[in-house]
Amino acid sequence: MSVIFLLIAASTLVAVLFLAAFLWAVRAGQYEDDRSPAVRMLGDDRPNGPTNPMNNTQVKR
Amino acid sequence: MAQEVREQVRCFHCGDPCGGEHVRAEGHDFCCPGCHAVYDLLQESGLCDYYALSDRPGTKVERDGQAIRAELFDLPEVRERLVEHSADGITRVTFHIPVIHCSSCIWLLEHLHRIDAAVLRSRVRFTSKELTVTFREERLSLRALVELLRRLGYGPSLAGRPAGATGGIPRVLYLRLGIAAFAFGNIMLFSFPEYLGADASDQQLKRGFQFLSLLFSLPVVFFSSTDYFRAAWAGLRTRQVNIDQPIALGIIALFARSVWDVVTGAGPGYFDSLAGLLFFLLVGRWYQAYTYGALSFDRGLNDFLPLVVLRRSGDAEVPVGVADLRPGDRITVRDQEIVPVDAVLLEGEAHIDNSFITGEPLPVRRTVGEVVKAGGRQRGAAIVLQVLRPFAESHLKRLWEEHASGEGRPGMPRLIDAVARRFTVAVVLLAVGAGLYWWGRDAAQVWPVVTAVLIVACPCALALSMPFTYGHTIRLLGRRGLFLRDAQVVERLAAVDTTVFDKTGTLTEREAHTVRFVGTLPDATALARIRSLARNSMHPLSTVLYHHLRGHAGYAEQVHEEAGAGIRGTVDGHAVRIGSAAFTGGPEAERTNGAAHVHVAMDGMHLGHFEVVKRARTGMATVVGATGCLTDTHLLTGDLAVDPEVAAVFAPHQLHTGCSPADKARFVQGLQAKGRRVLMVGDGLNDAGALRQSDVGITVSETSAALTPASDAILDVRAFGDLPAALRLARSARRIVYGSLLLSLAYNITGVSVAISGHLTPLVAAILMPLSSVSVVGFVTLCVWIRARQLGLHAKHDGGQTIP
Repeated sequence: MSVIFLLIAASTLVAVLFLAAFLWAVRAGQYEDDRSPAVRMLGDDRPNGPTNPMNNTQVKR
Repeated sequence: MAQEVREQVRCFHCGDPCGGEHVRAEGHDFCCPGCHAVYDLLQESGLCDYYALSDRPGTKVERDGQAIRAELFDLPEVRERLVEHSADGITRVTFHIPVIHCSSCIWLLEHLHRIDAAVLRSRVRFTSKELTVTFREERLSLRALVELLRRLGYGPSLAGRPAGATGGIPRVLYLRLGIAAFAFGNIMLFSFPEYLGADASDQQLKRGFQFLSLLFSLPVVFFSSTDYFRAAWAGLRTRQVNIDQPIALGIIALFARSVWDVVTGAGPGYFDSLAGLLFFLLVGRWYQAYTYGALSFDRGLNDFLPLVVLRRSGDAEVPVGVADLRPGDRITVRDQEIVPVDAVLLEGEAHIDNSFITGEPLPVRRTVGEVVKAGGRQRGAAIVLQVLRPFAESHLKRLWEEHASGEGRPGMPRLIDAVARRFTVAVVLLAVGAGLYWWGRDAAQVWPVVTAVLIVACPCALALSMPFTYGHTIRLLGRRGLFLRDAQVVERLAAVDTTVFDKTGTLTEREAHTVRFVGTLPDATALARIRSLARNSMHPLSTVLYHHLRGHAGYAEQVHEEAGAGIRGTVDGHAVRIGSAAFTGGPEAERTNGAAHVHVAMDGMHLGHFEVVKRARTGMATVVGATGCLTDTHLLTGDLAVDPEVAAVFAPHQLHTGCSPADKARFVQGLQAKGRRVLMVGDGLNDAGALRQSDVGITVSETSAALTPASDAILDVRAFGDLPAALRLARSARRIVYGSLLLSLAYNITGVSVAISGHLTPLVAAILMPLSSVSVVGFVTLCVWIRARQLGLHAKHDGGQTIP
């Protein structure tokens, strides 16, 4: 049964790691702007060029 | 017919209807050359994804010079304010860009490097509308960067927060909440063996879990709950009872009892209830900060004045700070700039638009030698002024300080304070009473019973009901376009029984006018020629005409504007004159109700005049009528006569004409002396006194840049029609709070009766506490939502962009 102490220690350690990650995220300012990161990933970095397919759908509208 | 079709066409860039300057290019429609230019720029750089990310995302490029001059960004003091870091030719700078409003804005501003390779990295912080750009300064100066942004329609503002300051929810609140959540989750797991009945053979395990729980609860008590202790202590020192005191008492009781139980081996303690309590309380705090934090009401006067003005020394113009201006200095104020200090006009013709101060958009003319007061905006050619008094002594600054700066409002007692007072006294009495009762019977029970009472009476649900009810109300109203300062405004709005409207700029529109031609209406070609000439004048009446008339004619040539008289020029070979009766050689017409007249003459023949009348706001009659069903209504105006359209919706005794700003404030005060709770609906600084005096002051605002001093709420004009529904929702919110208070009191009474009888086991506490919090929050959320739905306030307004 003493193995449970090892398990508890391990799980608590994992929990503390997650807490540390959360504290880091707060300190890094991730909670101050929850809108731009969501949009940032939508625009992909295609090479420069005057034509792009997404724009054509706009023309038809 | 063709006219109407064209009205439907909307600009591909900014979404405005395409009017006179309609440009068609590359299969898209643009409302003006400015929007087309931005499109071209984006097209060249391959950035047309901008248009794919959201519908018509662009903002109109400001052409009227309202933006700050780009030269200012060369000044060391401005640079210092914006630049965060500069080394080895690489500079990082943060701009505040108020027009950032959608996904496309973020995307475009973060791809600046494709437009100019000197930009290394740009990052938008959407919530605070800030853009941080890292760029090579040897290849792109700060000023050129600003000009690039401005070309895109994203001109940075110098007003507002200085670089580095962050608004919104404080980080420490997230940390407190996160730690409480962490402890809550873990301690709950540690408590399961206890609740599920681990047998005696696991005694060692149980002890281990108890001490682990104790360990995990330490940061909760000593870090997450510090705010409550501080507030409770502050209340004690000023001998005031507040809601934080029973909470602090509850936390102390929970912790002390739990530590005692664990150390003496009497039981597992209430650590899970303790962590859960803090978790729920802090969620309430976070929600409160989340709903209020989005709004910035703390715009000062300085945000509306130019940071720097041009002082003349000899032939040169040197930029200086407004605060450094001394009497006798000569300053240049260009078109669309604000006169920052009281000054005497030395050169040029001043057409001062005082709408900032009085709400009246038609400019006043000032001639050389006359005094121009601070706060007016020049419309027309540049003028030279001599400073009369320093900024600190200006009329504007005094007006602001007298009416607009103060915070505290002659108050209504807050509901939460009244409830907290009775609640706290009741809890203390109960604890003492229960202690005395058990003292006589079984002294060993005194400690457990007294702590149990304090634990179970901890007003968690009570503390949550108000932030959530009022928070939801504020959020729903904010989505519609009515922005309330805080929860107290909802409470005060619910108590309002008299509504006072200001007329100019509140019930009438600031910019929209009804234009009527008196005389024989000229044919379409002639009107187009008038329009073409009107385009050349900065005078607001010309602007009104220009926007009102339709059709295209040739460009006006040999244009000459005579101050205070009119403008003349040649269009398609015809001499056109627009202006006063004398200027056009026509008879002076009789004026009614503050209508402005613009006479026109073609080839020396007087054709007649346009009568320009300010238009009442759409839905004005409905709003006043519906508000009249809920409260008494009054109309205040500085004008001597009220337009018939507005007068029709008020009874004669409700109209009060010829009121100065001070009269307005006195009128509100008079109503309050009769015991009335007054809602003042105004539009700016000229109502500031009345807005401040009233119990709730709402400023109706057409632009995000409006000056909104002394107001508790800002009403976006598009939401003007929602005013009566908002009043109803505020009243319902108050009733919902009463309901939720009863509900949470019921929980407390149940809990206390269990506690007094000595049966409050940790398991009961662990169930009762979260159950009460969650059910109260659920109850108020549902009620507010249902009520808002009934009132038609649940959906977002069309037109997307909201003010702050």
